[in-house]
Amino acid sequence: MKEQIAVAFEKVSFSYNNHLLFKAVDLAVEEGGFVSVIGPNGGGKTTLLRLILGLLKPRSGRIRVFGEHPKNARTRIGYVAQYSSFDELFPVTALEVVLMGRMGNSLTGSYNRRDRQKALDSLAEVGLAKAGSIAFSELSGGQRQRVLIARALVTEPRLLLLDEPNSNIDVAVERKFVNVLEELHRKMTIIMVTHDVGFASHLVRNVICVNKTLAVHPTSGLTTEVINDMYGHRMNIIQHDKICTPEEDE
Amino acid sequence: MILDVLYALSPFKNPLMTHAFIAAILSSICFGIVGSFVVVKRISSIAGSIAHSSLGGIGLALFLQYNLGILWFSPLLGALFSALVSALIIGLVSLFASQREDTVIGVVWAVGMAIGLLFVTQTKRYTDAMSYLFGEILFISPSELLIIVALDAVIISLCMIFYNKLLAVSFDQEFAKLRGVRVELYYLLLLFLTALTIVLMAMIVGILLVIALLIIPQAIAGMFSKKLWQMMLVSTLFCLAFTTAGLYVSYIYNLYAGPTIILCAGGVYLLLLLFTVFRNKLFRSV
Repeated sequence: MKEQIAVAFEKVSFSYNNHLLFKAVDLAVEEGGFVSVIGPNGGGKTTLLRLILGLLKPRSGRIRVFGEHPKNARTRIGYVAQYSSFDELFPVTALEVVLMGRMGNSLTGSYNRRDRQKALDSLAEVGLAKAGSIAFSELSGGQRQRVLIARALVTEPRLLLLDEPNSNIDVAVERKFVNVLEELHRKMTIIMVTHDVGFASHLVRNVICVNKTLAVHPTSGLTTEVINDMYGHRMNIIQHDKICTPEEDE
Repeated sequence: MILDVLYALSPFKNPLMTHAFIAAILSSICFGIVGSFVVVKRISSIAGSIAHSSLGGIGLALFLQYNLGILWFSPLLGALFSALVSALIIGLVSLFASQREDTVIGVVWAVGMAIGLLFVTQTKRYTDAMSYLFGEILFISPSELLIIVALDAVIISLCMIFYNKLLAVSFDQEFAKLRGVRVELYYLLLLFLTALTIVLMAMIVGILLVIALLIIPQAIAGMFSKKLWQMMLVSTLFCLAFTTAGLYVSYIYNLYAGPTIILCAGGVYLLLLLFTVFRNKLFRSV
């Protein structure tokens, strides 16, 4: 049943600048799962994603994505980086951003008609069918986030990694964004880093708690005590359902 | 043939001014294209370091020519050599070493200039470093114009062929890497194009001021462009306007051409910046 595991960590240790971040951690994310990764800043949430992507090498242990080395599995992984890492003024349209997901190994990186159609389909999938010609800088925070998700989707991934996708989303459009994630979850495994334990909580099956170590809990087992213990101080849990309102932001 | 057309277009009767005008047109293309990448990739400090460190090669060339009689090693060749070496050092450190990039940029900047000044002061014949620092657009020769035509051809060809890859690497290097793009290769290509442009364009405005034409017209163009190629086109036009206007003003008032060109560009940029701030405040208060 090896192929049913999307991501597997076996005794993985990782240190950054001689600072031990993970010590012999094990992890198994089933294919088709929706896992959220929570933890305090600097705890290693983004590092976890970068290890899965093969952008970082573990000091020891073994990482497998769909049974392969992460670098070999990259074509099956869609990645949405933290929104704050992008230059908002970069002169590029939404369609051009999404097309970057179709870039292959060819020397010139040119796109064909099929690539363009796939990019337009991906934009439509995240509810931005008419936004292709709009400059990235002219889009709202939520729309930009969805463009970046469309860029990940156009790679036709089996695993989608999202790094704090709701960090720049207005509460008013959060519901729409959750609906997009719900649709995507029908087709692929999702691992989502978030600061917000309540975000998309009805979709999340397991929660990975990361703070220099790693523990996996089922969503129901994520009590206030577990969260307080992980963050090292008292945290408040806010229910989302009451503040979400469906609203078009296109 | 290209030069014949440009000669015919020149509004100046003076042959020196005509050459300078043609140099301004040709260089605007390089500045517009490469400068746009410099601005969007946020490597203006790297470009500044490459520009200043090229003095090391210029000094070495003057020393070899006048003290040791090695005439084939011209200042242009020396500048090209040191600029490419600097680009390679900064590029490799940025990509592979765990050193702070800004520290390395500063070191290359200062060491390059120090080497250049040492060699210039040890050169037997008196050498006016001012022409290298601030440029001599009025003394551009027809053979140098042909070199700039060749540079334009190289830059336009490479940027057209690799436009999508360079755009992807400039926008999001990490994602490009995940898509199988050899980002190290394209990043170094970008730095080499920047070094090549800086060295040849330093003939026009000098190594101290070349950085201004690599960022000011592009920063202005960025206010009006929603695609990178549009930014290149608009910044080329702005660059052409600034160099022509600067040349004209320097001709009328008998001023140094390089600084006059830069002040024209800087003045327009500041005015536009003030206009943008004023407009935003006005909209906010309404």
